[in-house]
Amino acid sequence: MRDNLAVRWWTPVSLRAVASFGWISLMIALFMCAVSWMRGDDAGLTTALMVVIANSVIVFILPEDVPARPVPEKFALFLVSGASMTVLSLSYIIHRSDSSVGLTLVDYWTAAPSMLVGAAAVIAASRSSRWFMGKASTEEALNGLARSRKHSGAIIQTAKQIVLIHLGIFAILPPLWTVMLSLSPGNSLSMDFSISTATLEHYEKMWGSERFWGWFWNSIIVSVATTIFGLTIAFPAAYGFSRYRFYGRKIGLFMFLIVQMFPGALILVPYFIVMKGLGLLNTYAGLVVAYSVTALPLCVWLMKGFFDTIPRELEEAARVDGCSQMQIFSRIIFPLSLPAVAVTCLFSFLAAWNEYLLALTFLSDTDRYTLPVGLASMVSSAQAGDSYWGDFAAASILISIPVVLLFITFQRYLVDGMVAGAVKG
Amino acid sequence: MRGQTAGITAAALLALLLLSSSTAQAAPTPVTEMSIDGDVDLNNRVRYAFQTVPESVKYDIYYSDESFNNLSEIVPTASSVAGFPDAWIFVSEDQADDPSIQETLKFFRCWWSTTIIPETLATDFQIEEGWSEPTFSTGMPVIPPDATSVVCDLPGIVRGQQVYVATVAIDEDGSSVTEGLEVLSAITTAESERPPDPDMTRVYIAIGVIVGGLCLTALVLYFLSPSRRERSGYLFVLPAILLLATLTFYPVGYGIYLSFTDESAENYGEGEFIGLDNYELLFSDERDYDGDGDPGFWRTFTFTLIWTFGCVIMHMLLGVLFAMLLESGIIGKVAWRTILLIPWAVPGYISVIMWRGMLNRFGWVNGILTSDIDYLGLDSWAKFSVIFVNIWMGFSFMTMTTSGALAGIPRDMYEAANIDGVGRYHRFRHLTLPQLMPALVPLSLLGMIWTFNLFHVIFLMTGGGPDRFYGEPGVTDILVTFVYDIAFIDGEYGLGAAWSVIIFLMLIVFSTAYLVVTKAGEVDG
Amino acid sequence: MAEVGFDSVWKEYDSDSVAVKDLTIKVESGEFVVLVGPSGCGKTTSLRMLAGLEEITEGNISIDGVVVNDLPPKARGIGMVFQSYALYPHMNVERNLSFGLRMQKGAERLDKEEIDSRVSDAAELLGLTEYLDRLPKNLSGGQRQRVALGRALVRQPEVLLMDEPLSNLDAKLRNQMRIELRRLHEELGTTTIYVTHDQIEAMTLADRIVIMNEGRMQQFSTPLEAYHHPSNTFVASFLGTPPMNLVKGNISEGVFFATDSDAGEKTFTMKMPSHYSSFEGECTLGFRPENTALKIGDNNGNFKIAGFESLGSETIVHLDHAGIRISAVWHRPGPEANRQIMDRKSNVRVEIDESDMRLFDSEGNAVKEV
Repeated sequence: MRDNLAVRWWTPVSLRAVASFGWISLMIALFMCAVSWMRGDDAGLTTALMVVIANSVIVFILPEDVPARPVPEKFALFLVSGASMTVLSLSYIIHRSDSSVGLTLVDYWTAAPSMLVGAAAVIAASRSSRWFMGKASTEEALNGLARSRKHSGAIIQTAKQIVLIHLGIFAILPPLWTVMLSLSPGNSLSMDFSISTATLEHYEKMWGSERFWGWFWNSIIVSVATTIFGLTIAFPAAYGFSRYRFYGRKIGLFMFLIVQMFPGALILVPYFIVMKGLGLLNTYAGLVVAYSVTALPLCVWLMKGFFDTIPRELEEAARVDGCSQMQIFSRIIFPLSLPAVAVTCLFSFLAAWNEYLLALTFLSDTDRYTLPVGLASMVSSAQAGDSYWGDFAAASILISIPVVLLFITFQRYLVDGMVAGAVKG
Repeated sequence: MRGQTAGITAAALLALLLLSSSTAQAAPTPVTEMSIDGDVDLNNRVRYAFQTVPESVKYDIYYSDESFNNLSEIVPTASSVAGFPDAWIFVSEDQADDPSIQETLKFFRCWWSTTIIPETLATDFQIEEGWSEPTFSTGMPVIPPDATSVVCDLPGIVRGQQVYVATVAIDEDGSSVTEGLEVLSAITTAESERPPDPDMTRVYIAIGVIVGGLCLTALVLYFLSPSRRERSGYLFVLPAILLLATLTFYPVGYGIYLSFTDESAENYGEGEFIGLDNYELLFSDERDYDGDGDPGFWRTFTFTLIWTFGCVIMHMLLGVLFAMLLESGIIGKVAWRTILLIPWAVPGYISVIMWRGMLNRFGWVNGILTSDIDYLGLDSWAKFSVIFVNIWMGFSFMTMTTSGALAGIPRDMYEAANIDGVGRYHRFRHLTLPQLMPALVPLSLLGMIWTFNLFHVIFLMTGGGPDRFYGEPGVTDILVTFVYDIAFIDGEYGLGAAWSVIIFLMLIVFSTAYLVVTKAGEVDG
Repeated sequence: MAEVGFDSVWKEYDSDSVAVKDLTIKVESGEFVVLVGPSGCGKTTSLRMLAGLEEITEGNISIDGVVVNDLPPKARGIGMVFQSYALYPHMNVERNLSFGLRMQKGAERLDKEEIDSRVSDAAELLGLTEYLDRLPKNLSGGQRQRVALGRALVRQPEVLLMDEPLSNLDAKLRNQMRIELRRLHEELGTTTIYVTHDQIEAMTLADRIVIMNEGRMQQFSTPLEAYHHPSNTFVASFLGTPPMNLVKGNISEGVFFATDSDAGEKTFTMKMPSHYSSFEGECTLGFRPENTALKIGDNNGNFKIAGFESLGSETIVHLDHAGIRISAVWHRPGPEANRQIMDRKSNVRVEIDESDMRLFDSEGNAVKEV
């Protein structure tokens, strides 16, 4: 009864591998269609679509989880699809090389996977013909199963790494472009980057630019002041909400929750008018107050959540030991909550550092610009005729590196905080 | 294209200046100096003058952010459509005034004269002797054939941005009258004089009342409190509550009040109560400047929904997909995680501007794909591009949160499923997804609230364009970006506030759903 | 029903950590075999290899004569009960039981009636019928355990695997479930492999037990055989509460004398019974506490009472003499004896039943009896 067990559960690992990689080449082939369409290259689009069809056959012919039942027709289909994938992608390459722009990196990248997977499919299918015909013996099946065991981990890992490489490139392409732009001579967008012409002129220019440093200091002052001011207000509030059960506490907490959902745009107009009325436009104070209030709910919720985890008994023990309320606050609570305070500070700081809309609305004096408004003005305004793309890129890199490092270092806390601050503490 | 490009007549003078506001008094400032004390009056315009050409029936005026030497080079940008002029002036004996345009809303201001062009076109250029105002037809001015000089304010030009202008005179055959094209450049940098500071006593009084009232309430509650221990809570909480009340709840209330007034940059501080007029105006034909039968609300609303749902759905999809990949036992997980974190870590405004540069018609994307698409200038592409960029910016956050949630799912459940022979799809569909849902649902609702309110991506990418027409939203404008335009470009505070209130009402739907789902309303005991 | 065979199975995570070393056992069809040992001894790893959840580094595992090393878990015809139950938290009991069945595809696919009847059979067998609509979080520990068992049973496995299924239950429930498991096994007759660290479970449930330590099998025999004739000192000290007394010493001319003592070689001597008469040299003497009789207040006795634990039905007495520590179980000591124990009298003489003496050689392996 168990004799044919191995035969039933065996699918040649090479076919499985082709199917796995086929998914990747299918995605890339779809991209090939998109690119052809964007280029207005109808012949290329037709070829690409045919590659997609052939590729789909290879991917869908082997069911993913059920032991595949070998059928002779599938053999032919597999073989033909594989062959046509190779031929079609080759003809796509030839077609592109005839075009006015010639072959580009994108062409190689989009066509090569289908070509390779197609060829692999042909080889794998022809080597698995006995399986396709349903003629494999138990011994073959057992050997095949052992081979699957041995190799499938590596194959899946390779496929995942290939997907991740694409994903990684997608994630770092814009920053990469910015780095290249910042190293290219000239301030125009249509840069032609090469190592030999790379220059640090933009970095030197920005490093020596009084205006850039002015914006930088504005941002530093505003962000630091926001952090300190916000914390001074939020820390006791969070403590009060966590430790005392007073009338109106729930309403108060709920208020702090719902203001996070107020649209910035709703507050913007009256904010502007009130700030103007108070004479706080174009001042650090105006921005600091506005940012602190914006960050307040999140800070309060974050720290309250943390205080809730500090056992009350600790304070009661301190009280038994004769500490006053102030001493409890300064000797027990504050030292214990330093990690939460640090994360909250980081939040307020980064929020203020990256904020654009309020700064844009409140600041009209270029000398008072914070970095976001300042940098944005470099490429949208034309003070001396053109946009400063190269300079912008250099400045962006200079600004981004510390921020990105902060994010990478504190990613766990930031993710948790973003979620926890908004989702119930 | 329109064959040979024709010449412009005039020795045109360009002045810089903005605004149709009568309060503007200051002299124009030189181009090189970039200083705007732009509290108000951001109706950016370039004042422009040219001499007429005989036998013309129409003058087409083109302007662009990018320099051009003939008309085919004009890159359609935020405010223009390829091949069409941005504004035009008719020449006709029949001076028929357009009834559809209200006097106050004639945003294309224009004057004509039979004399020569004045030496300066400063901000104080007024209808002097010999200058007359034209009549209007389909929203565009009509001047008589005997006019020799024309001065007009070109609207819809972004402050501080270099703009290139050219005029083409068209004769009866529809071809241009003159050879060559003279392109002039100008920049709107001049400042308007700050209107006198309005009386803000009201604001002070309101804030005072709020602070006083809250302090008093706290005091009363403090002394009425039954528990001596718990009542100190009021002291801890009071400062935060005061700040929140004066700087969040009061402005919100003030905003709601503003939406019932006609407050604007021009009558700042003197807005009068006008009831629901602003709300009516939002949907009325009066604001349908481009005459397509839609004042822009529904168009913007639809795109806001597409934007919100498109972005959030893609964020969730990619987030779950990539998180599962990250958590599936890959080699180098920490490194990959760090790389995938980058889109979230790079400051948002920098990311947006990076993408704007890459998606520029002469940018990198076209360069690499060897395609020629104006991603930010064509309607559908611009919509696609802003959504795409926001997906890029948001997917890593969702990946990080989802991978955290995935790591919390018990492993042995999958082992049991493995023994049961549950396939990969069903494992995801019946085991992973239901386990993720408690984390995904609040996250997606939160994502919707964030995306709905997201300002800087669209503002910095396209500025709401293309097809941003004065007073009407552009193709990629969403509700919040358009509110900004209304309030701070057009200076109509009351109307902007009315929009904001409507946005707020819509957000309540999301927020309520969020509160219900997370049970966050039942703050802990 | 199926036989299960482990044939020289090794499991290495890396060269430093070897979880299972050269495991060879053959489980008969319908047998209830318990793998027992301290934590980290490789018993769970062995079970998971059999289930297909861990790869086998070397050797073969076969079910019903077929080597299953490379077969996916679902193809092996097994059901498994996990220590944490691994119930699907978002599905009710009925869906938990039927999920695996409903997910079968192709030739394995079952029709709805079949699934329903299997689920209701299992529910009835395990007394779950009235809880079918409940979610796992609304069930008691014992009920969850039953659901986990039911989920394994509905697959009608040829081999049932259980990984410490009772360890999350309280003591009373554990006793109850133990009896029930045994009843189920007798009713169904499924070959069962059961992993536990609890020797009581091992002793009571198993037809045969596999005692493991540090990845190696120590003994594979019936529980009683292992108890009475431990194959080495590890097994001797692992089974039984309190464990077997082990005294290191030497035998010369048929007399054992302890070498561990602080006070010379003659502190503890014992004449060896005839079945060990031929052994000479270094060895360890083992004897069970319950077979150790005490004479308190005997002038020849030189042990003193170091401590005692009164359990009601029996009293465990700890004795010490010049560094030699042994324990004895005294069933129902009389009032006089009780008083003497409480007074921690010295002068206790120890008498050991000859037939219960076990001898282990210098490596700790049992010395063959003649």
